[in-house]
Amino acid sequence: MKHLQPINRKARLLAARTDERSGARALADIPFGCSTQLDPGWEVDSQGGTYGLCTPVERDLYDCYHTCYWPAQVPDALTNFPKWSNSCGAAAQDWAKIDLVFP
Amino acid sequence: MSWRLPPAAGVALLAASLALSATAIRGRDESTRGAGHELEARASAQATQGTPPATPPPSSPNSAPAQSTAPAAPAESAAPAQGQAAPAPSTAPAAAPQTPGADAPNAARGGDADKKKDDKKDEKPRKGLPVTEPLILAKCAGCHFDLGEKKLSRISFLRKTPEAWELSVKRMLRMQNVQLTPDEAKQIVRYLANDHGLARGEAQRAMYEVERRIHWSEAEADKDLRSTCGECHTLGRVLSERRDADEWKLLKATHLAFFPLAQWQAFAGDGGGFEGIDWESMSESEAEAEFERRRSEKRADRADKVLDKLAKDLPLFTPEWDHWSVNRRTVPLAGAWDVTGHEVGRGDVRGVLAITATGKDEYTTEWTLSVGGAAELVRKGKGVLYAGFQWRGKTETTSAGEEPELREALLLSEDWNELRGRLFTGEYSEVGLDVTLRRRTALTGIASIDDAAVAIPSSARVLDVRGSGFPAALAAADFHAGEGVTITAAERVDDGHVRLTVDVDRKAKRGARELSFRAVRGDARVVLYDSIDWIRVAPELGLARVGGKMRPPQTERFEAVAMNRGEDDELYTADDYAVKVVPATWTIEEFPVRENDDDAQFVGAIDARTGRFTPALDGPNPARRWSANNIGEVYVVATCRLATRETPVKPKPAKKAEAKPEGGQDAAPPAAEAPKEDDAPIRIVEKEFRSHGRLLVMVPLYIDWNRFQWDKR
Repeated sequence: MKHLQPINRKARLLAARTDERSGARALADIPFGCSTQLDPGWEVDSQGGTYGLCTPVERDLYDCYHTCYWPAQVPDALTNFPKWSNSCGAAAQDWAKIDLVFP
Repeated sequence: MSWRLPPAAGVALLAASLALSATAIRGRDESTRGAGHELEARASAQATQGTPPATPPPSSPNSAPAQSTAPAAPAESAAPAQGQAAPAPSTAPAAAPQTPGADAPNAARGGDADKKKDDKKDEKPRKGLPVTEPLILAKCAGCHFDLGEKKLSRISFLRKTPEAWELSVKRMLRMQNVQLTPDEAKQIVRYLANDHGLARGEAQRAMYEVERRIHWSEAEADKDLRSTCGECHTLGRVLSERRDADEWKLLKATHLAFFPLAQWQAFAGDGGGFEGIDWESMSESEAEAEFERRRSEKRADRADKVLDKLAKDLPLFTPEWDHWSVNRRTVPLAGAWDVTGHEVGRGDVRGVLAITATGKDEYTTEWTLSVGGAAELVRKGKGVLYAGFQWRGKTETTSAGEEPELREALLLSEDWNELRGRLFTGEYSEVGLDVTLRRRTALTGIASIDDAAVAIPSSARVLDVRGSGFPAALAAADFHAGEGVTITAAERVDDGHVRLTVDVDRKAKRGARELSFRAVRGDARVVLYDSIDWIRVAPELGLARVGGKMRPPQTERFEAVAMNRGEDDELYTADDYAVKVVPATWTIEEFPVRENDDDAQFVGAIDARTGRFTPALDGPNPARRWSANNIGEVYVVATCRLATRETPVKPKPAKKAEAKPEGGQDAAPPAAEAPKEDDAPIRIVEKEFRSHGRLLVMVPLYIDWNRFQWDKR
C-alpha cells in the first residue's frame, strides 16, 4: 500500500487487512472495469462476460480515449482523432452526441 | 494480456510513452488536428458532391484543417522527432531511423535530401514491384520517393487486398493531407488491388475479414501472433497483407507512432517486459531506476519475433504470387450463376444471378432469390472483380421486408466456375447470407437439393434437385446417392430441376451422401438420419450491441438445428451431425453471474418465432442500478416439439460390450443383440426439445475501421 492512501472508512478497513508483505496488487493489474479480451468486437471481462465491465460506459469513456485507448473500439486522442470529444464534453450526460468515427 | 505493471512503473511508462509520442508527433500535430476527424456523413457528402476528401463540409464543426500550412508545418519538426525517438532503441530497434517519418512522408520531407541520399547509399538491390499508375506517381511520389526501376518507397514492397489498400489510402487522406477526389481514390485502390494485390490462395485465408463476419475463430492461429496483433484488430487484417522483411519491421514503427501504448498493451510481451521484478520491496526511486533500466534495455520484443515470423510466412514474393502475377487476366464473369446458400434465421437460399459486363472487370447484376422458401424477389446491383478473383459488389431491392441494400464479398474459385462468400448488411454487417454461386454452363451441374434430410427408413420420399442442363432424356438409373439409398424414379421438371423419388433402407448407415448424375458429381448431399436426438442453438454464443439513439443496434439471429447423435451413439460429441434447421419458440432467460442478476429484464427482446434478437436502447438506463447500460449476458432458449423416431436402443449395449474387454472381462456377444433392434417396430413419438445458447449484449463501438466504402466508389 505504498502508493495508495486510504481516505474513507471502507478503505481504512481494507488497508488494515492487507498483508504488508504482499501489498495491494489489485490496481497493478488491468484497470478494474476494462475489457481483458479484445478479440476484436468481442470485448469482454476476464470471465468472458459483461459483469466486470464498467457500466454505464459513458461515465468512463473518455478515459479509454485519453489514456488506455483501444484503437479497435474507441478513437485515440494521441494521433488520429484529437478532437473526438469536442462535440460532447460530458459523455455521461450528452452521450447521444458522441461522435462515431468511420476512418 | 500484458497489462500487469507495478503502479509506479505504470505511471512512469505512461508518462514516458506520452512524452515520447508527444515529441514524436509534435510536428504533425498541426496537420492532423484538422484533418483527423472523418465522419461517414462527411465521406458520403464528399462522394455525392465530388469534393476532395480532405476538405471538410461546412456542416462538420470538428473539421477545420489548416490546409495551407499543413504540408509545411511538419517539415521542421520531423527531424527532432526522429532524433527523440532514437534514445529508446527498445521500442523500434530496426526501424528507429525511419520512425515515424517513414509512415509520415510529409513529415519526412524536411530531411528528404539527406534521407534519400542515405537510403540510396545503403541500398542493396531490393526486390520490389514496379509502380506504373500515373496517378500514383503524380499524387504519391512527393513523399514516396523514387527508388529507381519504377519502384516507389513503401508502395513497391507491399501487397494487399482491396480493403487493406483502401485503409491505407484513407489514412493518407486523413493524416497526410493528400488531395484526392473520390474517383481518383477509386482508381488508385483499383490499381493497387490489381497490381499489388494478393494471389487467390492468399486472399482466401483473409476472406473472413472482408466478409465482415461477426462469428469467426482465430483459435488456431499462433498464440504470439494473437497476443501481439489480435488484441486490437482481427488477424484477418494481418493476413490481408504481404510485405518484405523491412516493411514488416516498419509496421511496428507505424503502430508505435500512431498508438504508442501498443508497446506495453501488446508488443512487449507478457508483463510488458517487466515480469519477474519484485517492485513491492523497492522504494519508489529504486523502482523508477529499475524501470528506466529495463525500459532502455535492448531486447527483442514479442512483436519483433512475430514480425520476423511474418516476414517468413507472409513475404512479398511467393511462388503462388509469381505464378498468379504472370497468369493474371480478366476473367469473364458474364452469364448465369446458380445460387445456393443459407441465411441464419430465415433458411436456405436458392436462386440465379445474372451478370452482365459493363466495362473492364465491371459488371451489373440481377439476383433472383428465394430465401427460406418464400416467393422470389429481384435484387439489382453492380460489382467489380479485383485482381481477377475478388468480387465486391452491392445489390438493392425495394421488396417489402427485405434488406434494401446488401454488400457482396465473393471469391472466385481456381477453376473460375464458382463464387463463394457472403452478402451482408446491418450497422455492424451482422446480417448476412452465406452463398455459393456456380456458373451455369452447357454441361449438366447439380447445385443443391431442397429439404435434403431424409429419415431412415423412408419410402417414396420426393427430393427436388436443383441444377442446370439436365438433359431431356434421363432416368432414375442415372442418379446415385450411395449406400442404402435407392432411387426409384426421376422426373425432369425443367432443365434446372429434377424430381427424384427415393427409398432409404432401414439398415442404411447414418450420415451424408453425395448425389451424382452420370459423370457429374456436384456438392449436393442427402443427409440420412434415424432420429433427432437433440437441438443445437446456432450460434452458440451470440453478440449484440445496444443501440437506437446514438447508433443503430447490432442485432443477432439464432436458429435451432436438429442434431443426430452420430456414429458413437453419444450425445454432444464431435461426431454429432446437423440434420436440418427446425422451427422453434425463442425466449430469453437470465444467465446468472451475480446476486440479483437482472440482465434479462433489460438487454432487449427476442422474436419468439424467428429467433431474431433486438437489443435495447443505448445510453445509461436510469431504471437500472447505477444507471447501467442495457448490457448483459443471457441465455437464449429454443423450445420445440418434433415428431421423430424413438432413438434406437441398439447402441448402448454395444457400447458397453466394447468397453468391457478393456478391463479384461467378458467379451460379451453384442452381435446377438443387434439384429433384434433392427427388427423392432419403429415408433414415431413427439418429443419436446429445449436447448440453450448464450448471448452477450455489449456497448456500441465508437470507431469502426472496417466501414468499407468500396461499394460507394
